[in-house]
Amino acid sequence: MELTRRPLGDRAVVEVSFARLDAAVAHEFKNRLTGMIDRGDREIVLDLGRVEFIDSSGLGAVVGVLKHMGGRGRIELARLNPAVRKVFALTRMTGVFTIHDEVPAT
Amino acid sequence: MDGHAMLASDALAGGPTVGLGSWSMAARYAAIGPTVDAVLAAAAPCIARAPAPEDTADALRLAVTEVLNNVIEHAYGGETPGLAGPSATLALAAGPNALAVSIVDRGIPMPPELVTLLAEDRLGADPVAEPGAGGTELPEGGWGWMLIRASVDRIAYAREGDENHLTLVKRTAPVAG
Repeated sequence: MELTRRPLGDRAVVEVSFARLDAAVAHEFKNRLTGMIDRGDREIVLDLGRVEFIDSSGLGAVVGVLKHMGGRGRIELARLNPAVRKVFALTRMTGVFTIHDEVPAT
Repeated sequence: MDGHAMLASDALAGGPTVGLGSWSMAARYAAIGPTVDAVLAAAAPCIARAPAPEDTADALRLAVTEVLNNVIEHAYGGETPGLAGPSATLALAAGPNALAVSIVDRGIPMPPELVTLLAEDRLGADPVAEPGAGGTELPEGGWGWMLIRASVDRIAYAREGDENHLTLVKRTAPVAG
């Protein structure tokens, strides 16, 4: 699973470099992100620009990561493609997250 | 004809249907992606005639994925009975106005209460309940049927012998006024 983490000021941008965020990868995805949080990341921007498809499992994993962060920090999303946005909208999860069109420059 | 067959015929009436065979899904979640890709590839000519082909393709991809998630998770309880594991046979029928994807598996039957809700078009109609007292926690699942229902125009289920038959119908032409 390709997750690339790079610093952005005080934040970490995590680029998800696989096309399907689905039941096959959701568990590992969530473990990788919660591991980052447990090791100290408190400000994460999740770049989903290369994710072409997300299902209920993938969405559940993203929500699970948000819940794991809890009040300790912030996790925001960036570059959701139309199919991914649609799933967030249908499940009424859009308003739960801060969603950027592009990865913030700073 | 039983209700199952009538549904497919109604959606596809008015033109030739193209039988495109079936695919076996060899167990586990990793097989879902390629299986769904195969369905989309076979449906491509029909989808191309839809008013919004990309939206139609996205919806079909999501709905079939969620059904197959359910097959593994619920019909087979997430386990792999025997060496072969969970499997499903998929078929696509594409007509001039709609396409129908059928998914047949040999897992446990859909629970009666869900069958009833589905027949009333209420399965996936309600928002997912939030866990935790006072609804203060976010759900991390339970969206499957909601996403399926929102993605296709009709869903039919029938238990035939030891098989579950689920059919998803997606219109590819505007409904005649």
